[in-house]
Amino acid sequence: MIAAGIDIGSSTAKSVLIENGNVIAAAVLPIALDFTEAAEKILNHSMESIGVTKAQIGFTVVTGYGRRSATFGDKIVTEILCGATGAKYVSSRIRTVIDIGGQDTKIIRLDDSGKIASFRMNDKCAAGTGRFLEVMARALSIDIDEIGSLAVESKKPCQISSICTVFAESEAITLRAKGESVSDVLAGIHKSVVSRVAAQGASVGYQEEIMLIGGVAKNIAIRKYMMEEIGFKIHFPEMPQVVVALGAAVIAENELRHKRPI
Amino acid sequence: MFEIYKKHIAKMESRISKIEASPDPTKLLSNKLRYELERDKMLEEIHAFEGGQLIGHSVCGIGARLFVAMGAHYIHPSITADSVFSPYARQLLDIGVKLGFPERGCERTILPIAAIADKQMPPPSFTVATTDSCDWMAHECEAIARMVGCPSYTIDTSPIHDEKGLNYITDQMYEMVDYLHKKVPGLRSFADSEEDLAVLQERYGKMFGHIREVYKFMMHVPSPLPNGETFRIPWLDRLPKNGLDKSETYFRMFRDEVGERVVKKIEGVPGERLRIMLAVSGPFYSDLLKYLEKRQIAMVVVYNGLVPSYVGVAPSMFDKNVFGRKLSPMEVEARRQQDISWGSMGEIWAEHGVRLCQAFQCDAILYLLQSGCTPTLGTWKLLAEKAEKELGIPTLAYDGRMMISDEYDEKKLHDLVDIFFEMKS
Repeated sequence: MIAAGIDIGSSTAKSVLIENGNVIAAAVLPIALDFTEAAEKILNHSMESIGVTKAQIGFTVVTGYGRRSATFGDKIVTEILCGATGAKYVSSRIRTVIDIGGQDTKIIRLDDSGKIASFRMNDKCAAGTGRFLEVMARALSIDIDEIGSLAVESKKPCQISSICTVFAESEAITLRAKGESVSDVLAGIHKSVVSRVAAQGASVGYQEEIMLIGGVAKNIAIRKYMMEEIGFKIHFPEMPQVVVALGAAVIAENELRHKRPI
Repeated sequence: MFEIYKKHIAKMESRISKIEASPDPTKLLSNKLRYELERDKMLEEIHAFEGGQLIGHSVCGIGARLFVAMGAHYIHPSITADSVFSPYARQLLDIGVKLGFPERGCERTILPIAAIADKQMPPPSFTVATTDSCDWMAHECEAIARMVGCPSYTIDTSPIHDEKGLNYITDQMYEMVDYLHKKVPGLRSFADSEEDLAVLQERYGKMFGHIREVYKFMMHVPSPLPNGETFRIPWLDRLPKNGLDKSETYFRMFRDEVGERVVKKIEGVPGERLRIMLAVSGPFYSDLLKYLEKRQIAMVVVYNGLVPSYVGVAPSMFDKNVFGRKLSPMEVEARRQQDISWGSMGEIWAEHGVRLCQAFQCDAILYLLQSGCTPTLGTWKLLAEKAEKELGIPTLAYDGRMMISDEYDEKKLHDLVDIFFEMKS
């Protein structure tokens, strides 16, 4: 029997299918406005990719911002638990998980038995999230997928003093107008995100080993500056944006294995 | 005039009638007396105003006995706001904002001021303010006095809970009663009131003892009370002046009922799996308590400045034998004031909070970071860090407003509860 994990985020939906402890499918799709539709769509996409049907799915766990919108699913679990579970599946030595999402950031610390010991969430302020980078990319007319590689070319990152996304956007445009290179401005922007996240993490406490997950973790500048900022080595999983969905699938498989009542 | 009071009185009457008509044996029967006391207190306040009697406002609790001994009625504006004004919070806050108060200030201090301005609460003949843990409440009674033009006295509270601090407060209280006796015609002198004060302290001390026993029962696992009843375990600052006999009966009956539930092992939260401490209060408009019950989480104690004394984590506020000697009646009242201070760097707040979690076997703290509450916004981290370090328990911080429901994020609050539940499952 297959176990499914669905993560309905604010900007993308993710799914992972597991069978006998092995990942057999993983997918990411953008979300329009309808979370319910997005949940159906991502599950169908995953099933179609490996030619399975719903009847072969033994247990589904739904997580993410829009988790209560899914009309299917056997269990709803928070992203915190799913993120921790997914990170542990990738590496059992992980003790701190940093999840930078599209609209929020989470830091999760695990104890030695792998259980969640502490966590912090920033879901009120765009600074320190993927949204900050999106706004800046748009302001500087650069493709969001290119900003990381441009930023790491910087030799002298600019200082972005504004904490607020709105004011930082103005500041970035002003810096470009003054002749600062796009790489240096982008480097400053990335460092700004990293310093916000790092401060949040410091309040939870970093304990090795550390993993960075979420869509923003694909950004090579974020990876570079995060390691520099916190002074620890960080693990970067192959598909960081599906780790939460992976965790949901692992939980689903546990439920299947133990045949716990719903 | 007093339309909100009258609506609240009608609500109490309705509850009383319902209990009389068909008492629910699964609920606390003592609630009938509780609602009667609430009704009586409010009627008393209205009649006192209409009869031109003296009314003192204070948020430091000493008024419950001292003002009464000196011949006045006592109103605690903020506790009244909690009980009575929450359903009208938006309307009253709008009035407060027109008066010049900030929109995002502390609701439980702004609402009473607005209520007085709007003739929804009897105004004072005098007020006493205190500089204790809460700077909002320190200024609340000063602001009320300025608005109505009555005498006011501010007592500076020492943050150190020692004898020197007690003497500092006591000296000011003697000065305060002299000042008020001179400024407020009809208010008795302290000399004429001291004996009555001692008698009141005896009676209050007994009721205090009953509440203390209730808290001891609440330490049992499982919790004997549902979350809603735990949330409103009563204080002693809102009793009718002429209702002490009924008050004593009520607290005794309440204690007996809770004790019986412990003996019978009645689960206040069926299937209790986890226990939490709520700090500091609210949000009043939310379904938090029910949601916790749905997750089989018992909220076993609400942490505010007075609870440590009620519970026994801090010395009893009615102890007469302290610092190696017997305290005078005025000193007993001064100690009550000293109790509310959280220590110079908030260390007492953190220490008491952790001791409460220990005593009540809490698995977590759920902390409302109330918008506008400057004291708790700083001190919550102290408590959270200490609780994690010493007890290994998390603090779930939720920021929101206490009484204004405009921005309530139900999902966020439910998420926090869900995450905690998962962490411990």
